[in-house]
Amino acid sequence: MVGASISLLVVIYAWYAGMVRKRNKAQQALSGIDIQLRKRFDLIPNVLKIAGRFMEHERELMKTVAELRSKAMQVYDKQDPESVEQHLAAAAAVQPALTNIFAAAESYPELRSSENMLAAQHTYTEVEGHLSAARRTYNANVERLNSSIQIFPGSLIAALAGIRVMPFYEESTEAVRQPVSADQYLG
Amino acid sequence: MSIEARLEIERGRPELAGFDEYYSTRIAPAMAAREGEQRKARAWAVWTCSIGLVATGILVWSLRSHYHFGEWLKSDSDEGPGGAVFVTIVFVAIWLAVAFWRLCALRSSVKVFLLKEVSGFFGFEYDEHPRNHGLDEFSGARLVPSYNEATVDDHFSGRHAEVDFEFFECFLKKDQGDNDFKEVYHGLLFRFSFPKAFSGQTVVLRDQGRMRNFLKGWKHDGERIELEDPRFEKHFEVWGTDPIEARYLLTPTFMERVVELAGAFGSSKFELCFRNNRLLLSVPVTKDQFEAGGMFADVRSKKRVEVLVKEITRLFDIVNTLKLNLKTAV
Repeated sequence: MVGASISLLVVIYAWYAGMVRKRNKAQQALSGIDIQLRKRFDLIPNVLKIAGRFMEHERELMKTVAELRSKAMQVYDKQDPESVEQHLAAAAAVQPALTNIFAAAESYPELRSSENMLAAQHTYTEVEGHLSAARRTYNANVERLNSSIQIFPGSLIAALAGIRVMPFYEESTEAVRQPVSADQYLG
Repeated sequence: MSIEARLEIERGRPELAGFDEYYSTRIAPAMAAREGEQRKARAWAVWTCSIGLVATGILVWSLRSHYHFGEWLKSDSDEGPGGAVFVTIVFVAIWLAVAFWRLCALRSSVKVFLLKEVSGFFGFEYDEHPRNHGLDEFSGARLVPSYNEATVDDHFSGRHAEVDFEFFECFLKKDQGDNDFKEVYHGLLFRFSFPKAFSGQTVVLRDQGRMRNFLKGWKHDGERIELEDPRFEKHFEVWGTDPIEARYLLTPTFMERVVELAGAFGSSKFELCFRNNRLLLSVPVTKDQFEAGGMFADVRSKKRVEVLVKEITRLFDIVNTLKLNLKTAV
């Protein structure tokens, strides 16, 4: 009886330790996303500065990007899944807006051929590549954490230990789902 | 006779456009000019062997009383073969070497000529015995097993589709004790420039079952990284120093390409590593590569060139399938 109880405690502790480890891994991966997001956010003022000289008619679009950037840069609580979800949603909203800037830049021949803009576009592609990798890493870790929490007896242990499921970083915001006009690319 | 009937190569490959003409104007005439040399070398071998056989017969007859065959072949005998047997063996080895050295020399020069010519067509450099091959980098990435003795042959370098590359054939032997060397690796080692910048190390190993994966994987730097593509995970397993960087390099598209290449190579018989901003690839092989035919085959045989072209086009398969030239770095 005592042996069975000790075994049960060992199993519960191992499960708990595993969940904590997975949560830490997920939070570490979240920091990885933030590092990449910081690179993206650092790029935005430069892009707006370069584009602002030529894209007089796109003021509204540039204003939207600047606002989205400010919103996504707000401090959040990494321990709170709701706060993380809001942060990731805000970060995800920046990408389509920034893509729209580059798409709109195609309509301005001077801007399109600007060396600075080309360099910014190249950097943007690089940053998005890294961000995509960070997102995949984060989602893989979150998947492991959430599975360990949601599968019995993980659900009980997680409830007792106060460990909560974390949100996935989804790129598919409403803006992404909007149909893209080929005209702006085909000129 | 049409050109197609003369040379059997994959004409669908854009890299081989114009090769027929190159072959017929540069390679075929040079090989035809060596036909006389081969005939003389063959005649020399036949005559030397004939004389050698007769001389060996005379030698054996002369030394017949010194061989003691009936005694040293007995299991309980302490008698050795004796000096007469040793003398006979040395004599036979000498006349065999004299008989075949011309054919061997011809074979070697034909091989180097053909490899230089075929490489030249593609704009590559060829070095039969390279000094700076960078095997240490593959060893450091643990794409090859540990070894005591290495032989590196047939080094190619150049640029294809804006991708810098080099590759060579490698034989590695490990001392099993008592100077007993066993071959532990024979393969082709490729090194490519890669369009993405990275600082860590990511290794893609063949999936060899749970236990062997563990034994092989723990030697690598970093952690085991599980990726999303089930087809890729079925063939390979990834170890890396940085999971984000590993995913940056192994995008879903790139993983599909790696799986496609695995299919083209017949199961996943290759392993790769991202290291020092380059892509390293190890392809184990069973047959000697870049040999350009034997010494008895007709020196004019088109088969020599066909085999070489097929072996070199493996490089194009890798670059084209993995799309290593893509600046979009997807």
